[in-house]
Amino acid sequence: MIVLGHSALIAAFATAAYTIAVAMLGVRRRQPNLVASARNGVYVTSGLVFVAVGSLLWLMANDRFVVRYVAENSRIDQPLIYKISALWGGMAGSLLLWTVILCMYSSLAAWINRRRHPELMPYVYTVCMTTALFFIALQLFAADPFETLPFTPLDGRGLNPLLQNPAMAIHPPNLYLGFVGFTIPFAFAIAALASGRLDTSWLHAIRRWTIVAWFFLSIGITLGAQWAYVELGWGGYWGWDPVENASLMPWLIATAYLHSVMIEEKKQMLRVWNMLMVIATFALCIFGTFLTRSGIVSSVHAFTTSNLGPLFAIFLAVILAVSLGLVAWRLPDLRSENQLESVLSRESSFLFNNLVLVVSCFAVLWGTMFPVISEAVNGVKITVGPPFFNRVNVPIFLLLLALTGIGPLIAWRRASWPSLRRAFVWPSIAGLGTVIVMLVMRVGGVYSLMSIGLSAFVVGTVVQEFWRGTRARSSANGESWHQALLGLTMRNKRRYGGYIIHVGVVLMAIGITGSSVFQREVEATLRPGETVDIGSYRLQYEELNHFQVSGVEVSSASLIAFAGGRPRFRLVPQRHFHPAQDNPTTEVAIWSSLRHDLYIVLAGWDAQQTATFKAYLNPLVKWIWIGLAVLALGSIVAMFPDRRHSQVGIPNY
Amino acid sequence: MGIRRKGIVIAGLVVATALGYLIVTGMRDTMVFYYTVSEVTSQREALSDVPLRIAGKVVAGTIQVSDTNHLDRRFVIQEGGFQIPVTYHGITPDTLVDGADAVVEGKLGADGVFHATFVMAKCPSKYEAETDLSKYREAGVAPRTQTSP
Repeated sequence: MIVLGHSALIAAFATAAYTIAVAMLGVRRRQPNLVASARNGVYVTSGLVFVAVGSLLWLMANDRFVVRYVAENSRIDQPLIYKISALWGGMAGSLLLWTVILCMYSSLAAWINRRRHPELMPYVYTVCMTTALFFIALQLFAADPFETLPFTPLDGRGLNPLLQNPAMAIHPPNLYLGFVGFTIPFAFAIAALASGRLDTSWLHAIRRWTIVAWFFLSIGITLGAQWAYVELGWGGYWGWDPVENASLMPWLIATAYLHSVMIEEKKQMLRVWNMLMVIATFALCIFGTFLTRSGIVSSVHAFTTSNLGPLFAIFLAVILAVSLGLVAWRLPDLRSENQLESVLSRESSFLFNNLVLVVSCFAVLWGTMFPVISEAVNGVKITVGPPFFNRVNVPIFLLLLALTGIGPLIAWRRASWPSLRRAFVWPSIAGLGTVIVMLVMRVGGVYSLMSIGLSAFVVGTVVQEFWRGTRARSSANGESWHQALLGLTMRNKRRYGGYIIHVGVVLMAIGITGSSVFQREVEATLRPGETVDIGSYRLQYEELNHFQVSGVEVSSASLIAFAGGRPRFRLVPQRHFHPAQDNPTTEVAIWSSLRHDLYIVLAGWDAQQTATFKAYLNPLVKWIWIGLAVLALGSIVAMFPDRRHSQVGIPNY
Repeated sequence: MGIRRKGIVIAGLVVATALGYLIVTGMRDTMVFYYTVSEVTSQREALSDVPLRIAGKVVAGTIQVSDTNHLDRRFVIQEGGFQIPVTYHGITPDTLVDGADAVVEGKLGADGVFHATFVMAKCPSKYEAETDLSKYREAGVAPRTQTSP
């Protein structure tokens, strides 16, 4: 299996190189059979990479610790699910996962477009396989997943216990499905630039790909936040850590692109801009992969310093040089056919949305890289942490929230006052009403008032859109309201899917506002029987137990939460010690409801059973995860193929 | 350029300027100097009471947790032959163990003790770089009978 996996990687390297050569030769000689051979090259490369992944999984499942990667990331008594997820628990395996996802996407793109876009496809194959070649080369020459040890250990070190968590088992694949997914739009952008086919056909080819990648990236980022919340035990879910930022940056730019591309489809404007957004998204995905593996910025959960940094830097430089060079070369062909007409128009509201998203991404990039920048400029390392990111991004996200409500409803070209009144009276009433209610109840400061008020405004716009559309349809066709609602959504999936996504984003905004502004925390050192109050709860500490579960030493405290004088539920925060690992892990206890989460950490104890706890009351956190589900639902609606339009590709937005 | 287009450019510039201002002032008010232990030791007077971030390794055996509340914690970090004692109130990350790479943020007191408000740690063996698998060899070496299929 070791030999098989390793040989498969070497062969994949060769076939990827072959694919690139044949595709380019096919373009030069205008021979479709060469291009067809390149397509087969993509399939074969993918097959070989699948064999490599299969081999590594087999080695992991069968405890072949002679393989260094298996010894470092797996253990005999590790549950099978974590033997599998160990595939992305370490450096070499995570690169292999990157490669296999890339190959899967490339093959899918090749197959879907096998009879379409003949001018574009050879370039698409080339870009995809060049990226694959780079990642395979990293594994063959720098981080070999099949490297063997000079001896066979009896047992492995096991997967880092922090990573032994269901959210962590599925977070990286989602993140990678997102990151890697942006390779396909990038490949089409390069293909359009290189071939000169700069009409909107490449945009239609990548429309669904972009939404799919964005969908997975959104899920990946949020699951990462959930993992941090459950596993790291500091009561929060987002710490503006470089690794988190690395995943957020491409998301911000991709979000900008998803909006601005509608303007290009509809009005043939912003063509250079969209091209740059696609390139920037992909470059940021590579940059993010690089950031987490190079050790150039200190992070809680980065892979340790490795020798891959310079290689990634070179690859990134090549990507930027080639793609920006191509854009510069094609600049005369990318002129807009229309001009902006008014500040009060959908075009300009989308433009502002783009401006704000790009600035936000820039701020995140700047803050993340500032230690490196300042050291290079004046020799002093200066860092900025969460205070900087929050201070800059909170106003930005409030502005975005406002645009989320305004953008979809404002008229194209130029909005008239009557149309504005028609579109925004009710949503504004909803927003202002919410603010007034909050003022009367005396909750919240300026930011939270704005955030919740704007959220109500956005929900108002969406409800109004669905309401008006459904009513019009049901009175015109005589359908019942739910038939009309379904018909409306299905007839214009991107538009109504987009609205659903907006609702998801708003729910997440509400959850983030609630948990960051209204969080409460308390510390207490208690003897058994003693209590501590947090919010409307009284926590009574019962007892502390020590026991062993499948080789893990567990110290477990038990508390009863009282509300209104009656016992409501039990909380069991724990500390685990894995003998094969160096450090213990904190297992927080979380009781979650729609109103708030009660989050308890066992900080320490002594022989007399006196224990210290840190408890947090995090309002509305659950709405972040609910918002993600709504967002995912909206994305699925938006990516569903339009039966009537799928071939013609005319946007009906 | 028509008057409408001018309006858009002006609005865009206003927004961009506001956001730029936000970034610049945010930077100025929140920046923290990042030093290693030896750099801090060599300029202790100048750095006392300035927000700092310091990187070093946790000295083995120095991690102490208060018996009375389990939350007052102290440890010593070292780098380049110099050491700085650190105090912290709160729960330190699970990865803060002997020999871990630690980054602490806070202020250096006049007494030479660093009062951390934030502690970050990376366990020395968390990921694979420089992994020492020799302890498994000591635990018992299986003869190399296994041949790769």
